[in-house]
Amino acid sequence: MSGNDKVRVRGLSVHRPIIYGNTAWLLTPEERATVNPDHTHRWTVALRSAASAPGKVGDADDLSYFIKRVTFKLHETYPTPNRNIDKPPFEVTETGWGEFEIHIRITFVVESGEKPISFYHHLKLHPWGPKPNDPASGELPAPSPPLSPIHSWKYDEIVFSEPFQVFLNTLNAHPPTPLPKTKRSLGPGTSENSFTDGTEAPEFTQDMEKEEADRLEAARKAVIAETDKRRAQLIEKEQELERLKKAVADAQ
Amino acid sequence: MAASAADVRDILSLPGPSNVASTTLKKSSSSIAKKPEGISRELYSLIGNSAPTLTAQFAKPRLKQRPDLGKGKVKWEQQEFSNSARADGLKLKHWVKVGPDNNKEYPFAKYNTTTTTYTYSLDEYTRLLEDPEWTKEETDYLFSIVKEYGMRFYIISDRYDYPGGPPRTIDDLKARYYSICRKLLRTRPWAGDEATRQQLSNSYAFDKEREIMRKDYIDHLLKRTPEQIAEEEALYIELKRLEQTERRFAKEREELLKTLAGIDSGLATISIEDDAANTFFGGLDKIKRSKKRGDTMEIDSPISSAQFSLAPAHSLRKTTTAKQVAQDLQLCIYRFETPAAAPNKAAHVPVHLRSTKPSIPKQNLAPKIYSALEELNINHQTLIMPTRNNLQQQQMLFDATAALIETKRVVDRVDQEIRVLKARLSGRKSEDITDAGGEETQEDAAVESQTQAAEESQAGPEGDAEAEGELDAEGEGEGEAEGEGDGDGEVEPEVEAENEDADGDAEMEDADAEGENEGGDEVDGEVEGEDDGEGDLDDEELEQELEQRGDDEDEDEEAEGEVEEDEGTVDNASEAPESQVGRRRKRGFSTSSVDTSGTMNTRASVKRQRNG
Repeated sequence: MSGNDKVRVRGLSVHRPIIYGNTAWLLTPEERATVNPDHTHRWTVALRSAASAPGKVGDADDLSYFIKRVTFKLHETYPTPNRNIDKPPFEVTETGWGEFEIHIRITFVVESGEKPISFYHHLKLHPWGPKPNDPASGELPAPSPPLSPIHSWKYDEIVFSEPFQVFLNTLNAHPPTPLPKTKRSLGPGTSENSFTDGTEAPEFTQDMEKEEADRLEAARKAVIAETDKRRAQLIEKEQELERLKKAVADAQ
Repeated sequence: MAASAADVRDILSLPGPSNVASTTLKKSSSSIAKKPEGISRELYSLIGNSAPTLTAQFAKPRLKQRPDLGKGKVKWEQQEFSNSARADGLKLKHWVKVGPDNNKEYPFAKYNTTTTTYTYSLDEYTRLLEDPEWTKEETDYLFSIVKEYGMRFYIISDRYDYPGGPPRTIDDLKARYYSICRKLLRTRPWAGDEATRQQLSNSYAFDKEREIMRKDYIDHLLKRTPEQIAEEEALYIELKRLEQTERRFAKEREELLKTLAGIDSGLATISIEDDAANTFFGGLDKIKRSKKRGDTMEIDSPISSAQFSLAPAHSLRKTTTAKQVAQDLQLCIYRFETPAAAPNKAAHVPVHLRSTKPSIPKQNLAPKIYSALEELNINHQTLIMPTRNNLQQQQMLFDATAALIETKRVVDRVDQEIRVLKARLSGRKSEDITDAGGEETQEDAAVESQTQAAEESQAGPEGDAEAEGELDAEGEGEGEAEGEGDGDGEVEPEVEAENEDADGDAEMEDADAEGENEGGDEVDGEVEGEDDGEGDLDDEELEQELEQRGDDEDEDEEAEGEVEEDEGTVDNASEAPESQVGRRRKRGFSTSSVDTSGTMNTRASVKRQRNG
């Protein structure tokens, strides 16, 4: 590393879109025979790039150019609950019967000069209930096919602000695959994502981002309209107050 | 740079002229007969049968066809029309062609445009718009007159006559008006995007100093005497002469050096100087010339040439940035302004997940913002796609909501003040009542019942209990009177306590109905402060009221204590609830609370009548 490389590049930040979460399947009776009899599900918890590889949730890009290690800290009841994954795919597959919080810790490559970051993911094994805004929520949700996987993924972005030049070069050498414009079919599954119909594996798209931005903007416009209304009211009231003050002064 | 016809053809990718000529030639040569022997080619081409143009010229010239104006007469009719731009609905008549589309809208109504004028609340004024040179009243006056004359500042400055204010020039007025507009624009949340806001803000830009300087300058220019103009001319010629001399000198020197030393050292500076001088004087020269020629603008005036030279450079820069933007987008790079102060190591933001640095509203405001958003049915939950753009949007949403809450708070405060003032007014009125209901303009049920009570109490002190009973029954009949309405005609202390209870309930409901009346304590405090030095009665009233309010929001025990304390001044104090009723009625709050306090209110007024 030359001295020049150690300089932080001022005034810019670079982010890499990632997703993290899990996929879970119900075990078939045959499979159950091979594992702990209490276990009902097989699940995979993973950290992946946000854009989807064909037939997969995420994982279009290899993230090992900036991630050195991902540590998944499972429930203490698992043997060696700290699972260090040093090579992609950054994922852990296990069987189990219950949901719990998985502690995920990302260690970055040395040249990034960044400390590890950590966050949690709630392992999701059971199907999502009826949507709260579903008009037919009074009815029982249609039972999902027993073997269709459950998906629970979150989109996020890892932000490096003012990275070292050498690290920036590395990052620039690996541009992330852009998110697809619209959702493609990734196969069956149920997902948490409110934009999907709940029967397919989730995929994060540019449209979703746009939609969310639009939603926020609409909300902001509504709030501003309300504010304007209130302000008009206020000005009117102030005038009334003015009148009243005069009236009071006259009366004295 | 004159583009030739060939250039134009190139650009439009048309076939060249030679092409066109050759094809037509070929055609014509094939059609005409062979030229007879003995006649030169040129002559034949003149007299031969290939001269249709000649024959065409001998044809009888025809006059231009008279345009067909349609048959029949056009009927015109004087009709009444309504101008939708008028507010007064005045009917005028005008002549119109009789046609099928008679009843269409007055076409000129659309030209009645109004400029958007800003209004500001007192709160905004005190926070942002205060100016030692201007009072609020004068600013109000300015805004009203600007609105009246549609921002025509020459008229405004002509008509501007604020009694007791200092004289204002047109620039003063403009500066004040535009600065307020700018400030309001900047501080209020903006619904559109940042660019349009910036644009609008720029349209309100006004630099008073510069404007005055500009006017001064023009003034000086116009007021030059002929002698001054002549002098300027002479100076200019002198300048030209000097410049030429210098150039000639430089040239000679250069030649001399060349012949002597054969080097071109030391020349650069001179030539540069010369260049600079040249452009400067050249520019001056051009301006001068164009001035002399009057209003005809020269093609190669400095401005136009500058435009020519700048345009490509500018577009070039733009394309590079566009390219960079695309690249940045691809590489997920975001460039931001580094703060002016050199950021030290500690200021470095470590790597993080975008969603972990959310745009959380200010700590003390967060719950209010969330509840306000909930009220508006806006889901403020965590973002599904926590991208930079979305986080920014969220931040803007929170900011806008904070502004909304602030506005609401001020509205509530003003409401409170209005209530207090009304209370005072109605309190005074009820004191003045001699002939009941005669000049009563308020339609409040509370006031009515109060006057009623007054009438009845005039019948004699014995009738009091009866009157109260009646009134209470009435109150209950109105609907959802609370349980407090029953114990009528009881001894005074008890009635008092009840009053307090009832009012307490009412207030609680009031608070519920409003749901957002935070900051009430603060408001109360201000009101109290304002009313210092008023009459005894007013103070009593206010205090009572304020205590009630404060207690209802905080704790009830205190309220009781206060009430007991106030028993000595029962009659004065009892006016407060009454006036509150009036207020609440006005504002159309929950009827139950109105009714409850309505009953006790009548009681209170009856009592007063009895005492007075």
